[in-house]
Amino acid sequence: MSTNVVDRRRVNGPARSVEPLYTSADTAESFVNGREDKRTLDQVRPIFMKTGPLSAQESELSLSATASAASGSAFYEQGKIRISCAVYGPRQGRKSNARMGSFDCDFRYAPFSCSWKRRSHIKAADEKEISLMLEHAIAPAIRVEAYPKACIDAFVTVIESDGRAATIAAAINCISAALADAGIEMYDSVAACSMGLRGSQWVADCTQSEEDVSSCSVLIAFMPSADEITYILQHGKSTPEQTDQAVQTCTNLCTRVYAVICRYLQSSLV
Amino acid sequence: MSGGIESVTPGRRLGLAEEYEAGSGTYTRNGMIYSSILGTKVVEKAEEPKETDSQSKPTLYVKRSNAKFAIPVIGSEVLCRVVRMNPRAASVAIMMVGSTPCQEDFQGVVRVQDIRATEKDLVQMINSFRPGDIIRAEVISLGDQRSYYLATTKNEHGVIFAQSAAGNTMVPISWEEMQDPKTKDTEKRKCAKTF
Amino acid sequence: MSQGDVANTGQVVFAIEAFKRIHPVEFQRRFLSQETRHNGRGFSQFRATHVTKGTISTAQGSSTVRIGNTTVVCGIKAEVSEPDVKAPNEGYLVTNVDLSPMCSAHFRPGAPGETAQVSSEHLHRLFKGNVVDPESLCIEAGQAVWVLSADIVFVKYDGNVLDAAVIALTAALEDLQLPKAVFDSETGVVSADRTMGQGLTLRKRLFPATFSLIDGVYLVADADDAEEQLATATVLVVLDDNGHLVNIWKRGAGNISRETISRCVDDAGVRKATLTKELQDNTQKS
Repeated sequence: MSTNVVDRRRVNGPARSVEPLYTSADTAESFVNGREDKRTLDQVRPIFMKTGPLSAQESELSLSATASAASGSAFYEQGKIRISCAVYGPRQGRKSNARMGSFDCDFRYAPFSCSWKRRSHIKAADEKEISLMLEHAIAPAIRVEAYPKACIDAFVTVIESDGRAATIAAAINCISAALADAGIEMYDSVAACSMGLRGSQWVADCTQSEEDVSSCSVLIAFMPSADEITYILQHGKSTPEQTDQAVQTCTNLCTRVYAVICRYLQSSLV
Repeated sequence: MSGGIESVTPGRRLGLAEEYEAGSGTYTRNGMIYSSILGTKVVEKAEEPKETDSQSKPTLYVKRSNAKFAIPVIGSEVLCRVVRMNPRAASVAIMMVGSTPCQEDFQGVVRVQDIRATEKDLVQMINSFRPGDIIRAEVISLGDQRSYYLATTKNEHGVIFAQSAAGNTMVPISWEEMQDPKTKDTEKRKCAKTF
Repeated sequence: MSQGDVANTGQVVFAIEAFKRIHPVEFQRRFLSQETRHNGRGFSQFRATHVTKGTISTAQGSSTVRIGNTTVVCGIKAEVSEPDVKAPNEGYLVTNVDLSPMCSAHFRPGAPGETAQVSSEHLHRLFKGNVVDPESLCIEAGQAVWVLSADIVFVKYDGNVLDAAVIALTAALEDLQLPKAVFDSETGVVSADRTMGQGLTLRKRLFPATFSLIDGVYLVADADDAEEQLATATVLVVLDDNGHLVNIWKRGAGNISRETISRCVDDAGVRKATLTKELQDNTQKS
């Protein structure tokens, strides 16, 4: 899609603008053995989340407030990644199906959320692709038969990203939490985790700079209680054995992430 | 009876289907009962064991943390506002199901033949509703692509709140008339029987 | 539903939630006629406002502002472009307000709606030149200038777009660190050093206050979403650091007397004092 479309519904800057050439390269190449943030190889960045339309008015947390008009909402942090999600519905669907409900997902990067060039307002192809990925990863968990003729919408906005695969995984976790907060009937919560291949080593939950140097990435969405994988995405180069190993480790990590999500959800009840 | 408050998340195993009856907020898979929502687990003892052969198991259900939004199903009683009408049908916006507000309006239709139970052929739309009226109705079918089909045939269903042409709230004076208390004008409506 | 909360509308007794849903105007009127508001605030009371600066590392300047339940994130990305031929010394400030379907069910996916368009445009007029000196964004005259793209993303919407947007943009501009940039005239490339940041000097800071006229009679400060739906007129008053008027914007068909306008300006002065404190407190924190 051309970036030079003049959109009269927005305030437009100059037709072309570029990032300056940054002289002090901040990509750390020192993590041959360890990781830049001193995590172990199979460690996920610390997770923080907050669900629900706020009693947390006094909270120190800047972003804890998410849509109260929504039936459920969640704010999710994983390291630097920050995602906000609101779930609307069950409400009248556009494409109604008398027997089952439908689940729609809309994923967006805020224009300032990526470390490289500012993103255009116009929805990019990758955002559409990720929306669909999220839909496929989450939909198997929802008991759609409980919502005849209705539609459930999840809107996700990335406020800050750090690693593409990790951001998608975080978005899945964020939606799961928001759906639970909305009281949507589900078989299980979906937890997701990603890994990158560095040399012959799998590294969990890569940051952007780690992802830049990894040759392959695997993303898994998993329902631990049902023991079912809802989504796998592998791209890059890895042997079948390596992939097998990554799926193993990733599902284990998903279970850990799941435990964290469940703990937060339970504490939100009190 | 409860053994302390246990909060559960979707997918949490609650018990065996042999021992319990699965209640709301749960589902059964492979002989196990699981929670399907976030809430607190409640075990409700069976009613007085009936003398017949029905084995009475306690019911397991999950209580929601806060009342959430409802969707209309067949048989539910709904509150709606009349949006527009034509001689054959009135389009309404469903705002509440039972006593629970919907998050957003659902579209519904009251067809002219579903307004009254008797003398259906004499019913006229214009003598039953006006745009802006609030009506109580029952869902009779999930309807077409967009709208739910509603009926106001029961006595307690029909207009519960209406404004006169002068803009005052009217009171029902019979089953088919409402009166403006200020101007004393009467207008025709299919009134709901007040309790 | 709680037991005592019932309202009689003449013939049918509704539970309070149903009443609010079915008859929003009447619902609000009951409160307003008793000199109070449905959210418990006084007529001239603003919601608690929290400002946090520098929350986003992928942006050169950022802020998060909460006005009650309205939550907004502002991020400024600095990029380089060629200046306009007519103004070789002037950089660009591009402000866009994003009211996504996430923040409220009022907004639909797709192109920005009217509210977003009007807010973006108004914000641009308020800040360009007035607050940010376009010449301070010049890297090399006629060759390269900074483009500051400020995006104001609503995470949660509960009324008062413009107040939230103006405060967020002010805070983000204060937080902005522009990397030190050098223009190489031989290659035509601008190189910058991330480690050497430099703040922007603002000509003034803006302090907004919005008032809404409900039902033609009641003037309330900082209306929330439910009140905004019923407002017939809205007045935005913007003051600068010295308490001088920068902008008055009255829109909507409702009549507002001259005395009311001057009362708005007075109340905006009170609001300015609290906002100044909030903005300063957070400068010290970061």
